[in-house]
Amino acid sequence: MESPLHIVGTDALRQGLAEKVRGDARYTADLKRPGMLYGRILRCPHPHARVRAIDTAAAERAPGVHAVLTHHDATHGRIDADLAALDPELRYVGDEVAAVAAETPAQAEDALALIRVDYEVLPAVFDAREALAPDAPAVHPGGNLVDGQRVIVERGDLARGFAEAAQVFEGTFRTQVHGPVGMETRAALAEWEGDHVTVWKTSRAVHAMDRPALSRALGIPPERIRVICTNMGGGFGNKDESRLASIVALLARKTGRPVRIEYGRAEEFIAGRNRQSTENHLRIGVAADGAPVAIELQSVMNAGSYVASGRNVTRRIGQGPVYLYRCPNARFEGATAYTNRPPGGSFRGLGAPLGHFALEVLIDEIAEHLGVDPLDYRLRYQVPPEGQPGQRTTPPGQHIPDEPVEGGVPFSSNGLEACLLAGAERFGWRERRQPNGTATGPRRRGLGVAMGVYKGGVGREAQALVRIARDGKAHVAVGVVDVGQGSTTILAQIAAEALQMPLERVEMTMADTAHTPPGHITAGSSTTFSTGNAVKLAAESARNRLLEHAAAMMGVANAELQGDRFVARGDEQRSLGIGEVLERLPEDVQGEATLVVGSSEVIVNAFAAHFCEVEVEPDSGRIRIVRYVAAQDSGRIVNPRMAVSQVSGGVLQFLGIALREELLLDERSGVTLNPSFLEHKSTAFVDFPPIEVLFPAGPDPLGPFGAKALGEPPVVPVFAAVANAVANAIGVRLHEVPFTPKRVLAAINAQQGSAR
Amino acid sequence: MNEPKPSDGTVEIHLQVNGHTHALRVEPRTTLLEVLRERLDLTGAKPACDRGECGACAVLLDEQPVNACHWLAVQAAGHAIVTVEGLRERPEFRPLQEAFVAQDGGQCGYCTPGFAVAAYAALRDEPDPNPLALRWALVGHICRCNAYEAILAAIQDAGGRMRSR
Amino acid sequence: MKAFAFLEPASVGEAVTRLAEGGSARIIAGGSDLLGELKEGTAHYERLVSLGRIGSLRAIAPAGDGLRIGAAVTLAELEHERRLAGPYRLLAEAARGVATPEIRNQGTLGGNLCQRPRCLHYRSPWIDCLKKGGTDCPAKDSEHQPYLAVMGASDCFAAHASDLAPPLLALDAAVVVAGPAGERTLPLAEFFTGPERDVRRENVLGPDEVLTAVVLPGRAADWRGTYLKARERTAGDFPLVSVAFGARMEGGVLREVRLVLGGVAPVPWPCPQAAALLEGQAPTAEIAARAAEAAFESARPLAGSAYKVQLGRALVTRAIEQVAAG
Repeated sequence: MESPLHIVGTDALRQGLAEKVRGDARYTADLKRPGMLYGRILRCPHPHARVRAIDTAAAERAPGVHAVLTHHDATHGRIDADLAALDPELRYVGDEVAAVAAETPAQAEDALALIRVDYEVLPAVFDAREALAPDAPAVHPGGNLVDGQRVIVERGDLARGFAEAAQVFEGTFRTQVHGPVGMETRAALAEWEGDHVTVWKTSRAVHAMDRPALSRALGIPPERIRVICTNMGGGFGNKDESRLASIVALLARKTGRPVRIEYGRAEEFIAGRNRQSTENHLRIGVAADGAPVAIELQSVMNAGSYVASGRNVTRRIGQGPVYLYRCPNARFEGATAYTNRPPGGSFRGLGAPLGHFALEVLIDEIAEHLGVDPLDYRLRYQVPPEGQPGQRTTPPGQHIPDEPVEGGVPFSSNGLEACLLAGAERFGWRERRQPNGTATGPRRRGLGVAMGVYKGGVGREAQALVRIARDGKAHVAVGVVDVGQGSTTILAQIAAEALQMPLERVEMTMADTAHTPPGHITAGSSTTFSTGNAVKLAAESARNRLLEHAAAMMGVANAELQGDRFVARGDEQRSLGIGEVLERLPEDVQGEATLVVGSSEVIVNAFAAHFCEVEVEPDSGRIRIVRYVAAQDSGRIVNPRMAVSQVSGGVLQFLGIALREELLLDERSGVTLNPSFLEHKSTAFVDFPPIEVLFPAGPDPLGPFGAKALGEPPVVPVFAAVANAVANAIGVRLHEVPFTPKRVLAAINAQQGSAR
Repeated sequence: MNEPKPSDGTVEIHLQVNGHTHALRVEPRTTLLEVLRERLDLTGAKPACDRGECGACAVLLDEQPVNACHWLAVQAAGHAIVTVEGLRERPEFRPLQEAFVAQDGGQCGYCTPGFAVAAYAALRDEPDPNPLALRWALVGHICRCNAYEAILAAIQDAGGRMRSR
Repeated sequence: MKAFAFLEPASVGEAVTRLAEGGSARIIAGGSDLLGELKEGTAHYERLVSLGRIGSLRAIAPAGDGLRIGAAVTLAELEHERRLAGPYRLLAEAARGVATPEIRNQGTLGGNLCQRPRCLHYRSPWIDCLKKGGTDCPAKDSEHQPYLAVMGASDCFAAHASDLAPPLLALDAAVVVAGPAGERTLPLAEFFTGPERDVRRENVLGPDEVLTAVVLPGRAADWRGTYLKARERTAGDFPLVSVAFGARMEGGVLREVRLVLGGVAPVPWPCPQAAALLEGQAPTAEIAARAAEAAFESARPLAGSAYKVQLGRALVTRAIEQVAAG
């Protein structure tokens, strides 16, 4: 980090954006292959049923239809332990029953209506607590408690902590289902050539998830499957499962023609993966001086019909409560329950925003009760750079988890305090904040603060390949997917910096199993930190080989690059132009790297402190966000302009969820009532407040050029920042997301009722 | 997409798209968006909501923005359709494109062509709009990356670039 | 969408003939509402009779001391119509608040008045209900329904969602309907019907009738109205509750008071008693609050919709304040 940076830290323009504006960028549903058929999926009208019999004869005879696919065709293997490509047992309204491939979309749609299914309707359960009761209908064999056990993590001695506490505070916090729903719906296109298949699909892990899942579903080895993800129209942690791609590939095999299916919007809302609803009961014991001495969170998460990454979602609910405040004793217990709701999955931040909502609201209530400014409370008791008190439990030499539990381990870097101070300064917290509930009039202003801790970007194994060609271009190949967040640009900047080459000469190849080394899933905000480190290492290795070639050409031991010339070390007079060296190379120069980024000594985490100003109308329950300041510790920022876009976008996305977005289920029928942008109340162009984004923290010693995670950390504190601002404005605490007028009025009425 | 055979309820329409008239046989239920994308391979207008709720498929119909997903092709016959592929050939599109790139006015980019089409119409009607009016003019467009601030900056920037030409 | 035939008559007379030719048929103007229903499968017609080629339905013309507006005039045209000034500005403002610019380039005046309810259960392709010929209302016990009526409903609780109907009722508008027997004109208030008459429809339009125009009678030049709606999104959304309120200020008191609610009943809901309470009164906060109470006096909300009464009262108060302030 000694030498000055030239490309990392600059506002390089987002790659591919011009093509996107012009409508030239092709997404999966934009692709066509010769002879391609259109597929459509038949969905189950019952929340829980078994297919007794299915008659496809009429559909198969319908005009333009080439094939109908049922569970009888999907017998090779399961995609996940609880998920088959098509299953005779159906677990939610909308579950996949069968699929049709036809010459036009309308023909495929018409044929769906001709499929006769004899359903045995089974008892269904929608509520997580009811599902965990002993006599509940089993959504899957083995019962509704996922893995048969709760997730439990603990530090210290919770009982002793509560025994020592001078006061105990508690609250129950609920969050509802909401959909990530990128603008692009899920899509897949499959084409067979002999016994090899190429699948283009919306994805976030062509190597790590899609290829193995397709291998199981199709019953062929992964080597015969090529998976490509072209431009992605929004990921947000979603689009990782391979059920649609499996159906499309099976249809293509059955028809002998390429087949494409793209979900409709309602399908995306229902069969795509949404964030699960949760109920979180939080207890915090504080000592006489106000310091937290015991924190306990018990959560129940409604996973819906297939668990996907639900285990990780549940575990992540605990991260904030277990680690954000310095506290010797902490415990998290989370149950993940199957129900007959549509399947949950991953959405930006997983469970972290939900756990932080409970934590940061209850902490605010504690500060209010103690008569301490909530900013001061946080400054006093935030987790410090040296980590939590207690003893390290990870054996020496082993990587420290970046969702830590134990004490006794410091952070690689911790800019939480810097975020609190810089954010408060920008926001004018000290000057402007009034005590809770003292505002008057029909529109009442309030200020709120909340913090967040999240993974710092330690991913799974990361690989990169950097090849310097004789035409002077550097080709970087990585297997990860740019889900739309802009990792293409960020990784190119890292490569260019490490190569000491202009950015224009770096060309990226991503997310194609045929042309990239294996890559991890685009998840846990890990691409920059993990694959970025691999790219940096591979680029340095390629550059060093190039230097060796240059030195050899000059007949010296060592060379270095100065501007566009290679200069012999120790003899400034001897030099060769880059062009000359490249021209004389016997072959392209290549650098490779494979690594599992992490540390056996420190925790790598990212941090945030958010400040929100609201205006609340007590008579209508309407909340308007007036202003928002997001201060993030994501280490060094590779591209400030794009980083601001990502933080601002993340905050706005979660302000939409905080105020409006909720996927509603009719509990009589199991039907999703509002699977549309309009009724899910997506944020519109007049709904956004100004978001000010700050990066007050310094570089991280382990990140590539000092960078840490950025994608998810900005969404973590949002719900609590809003709720705390509302409490400041009207003196009413909100414990359930989203804060719709209906809920706000109910909370106001409840408080007035109890005051009477 | 294969040409549907006549006598199956299809009708012939003449659809004027980007200055060219296409004689097409379509079923009356076929949307304008499907014809543009699957028959004419104009994929700049994106399918996203199929209900006219998000603007990703915006095209100009007689120079006014509409949602191609929520118009029947038979309704659009007789009107002049301009998609982003046609619009980008106009000189005013260049500053729009430059401004979107300069201001980072898009992340995943799926909503971007639709925003560009509507922004073009908004700036034509009001070359120097105030930000609030611009927001209301583009309120039919959803961006799930929530790149709204940068999109707004991009369109204002584009207006400036257009005015200075 | 299931297949249908698409007919494009050149005149209103031909449209009426086409409608009457048997089988199921429905008028399509812009189609912004109808196409949603066809795509969801909540409705299907063998034939759609388009008004797209009937130029006369796009006309706006003086009629006596008022205006006659063709039913196929788009919402965008209404929004920009210069003659919708003074007392009529209320209508242009309400049009501007409908949906989005793209939809306003498509949707029409007639379509807005004839739109079907937004009840989430009604709109779901998976759920049967009274309005779709079923035997019971699945919405009434739901906790999650923003679009239910809080008054005037029985059996079916779907609320009327039109944004133009409340202001038009406040303007005492009439509608012109063409049918096999020729044209008839009726007050807009008589156009809408609730579930007690026929649960499957929201207006009196016969299967072979076409709504052709809306007539605005003359109105005192200093009469002013406002249209406010509470909705979950700031824009591009249907009303949870809406209020059209208008009056003339004369010597510090309200005259020619009109108060109409939207989104709260199976039909747009005029509140003559609440209006009468205000007539001849100075617009004080106290009388506004009383009028707001009176407007919702007959409210019998289902448990999940009680908040809409609270929202609606706040909105009525605000509308009165706004008009009184000029």
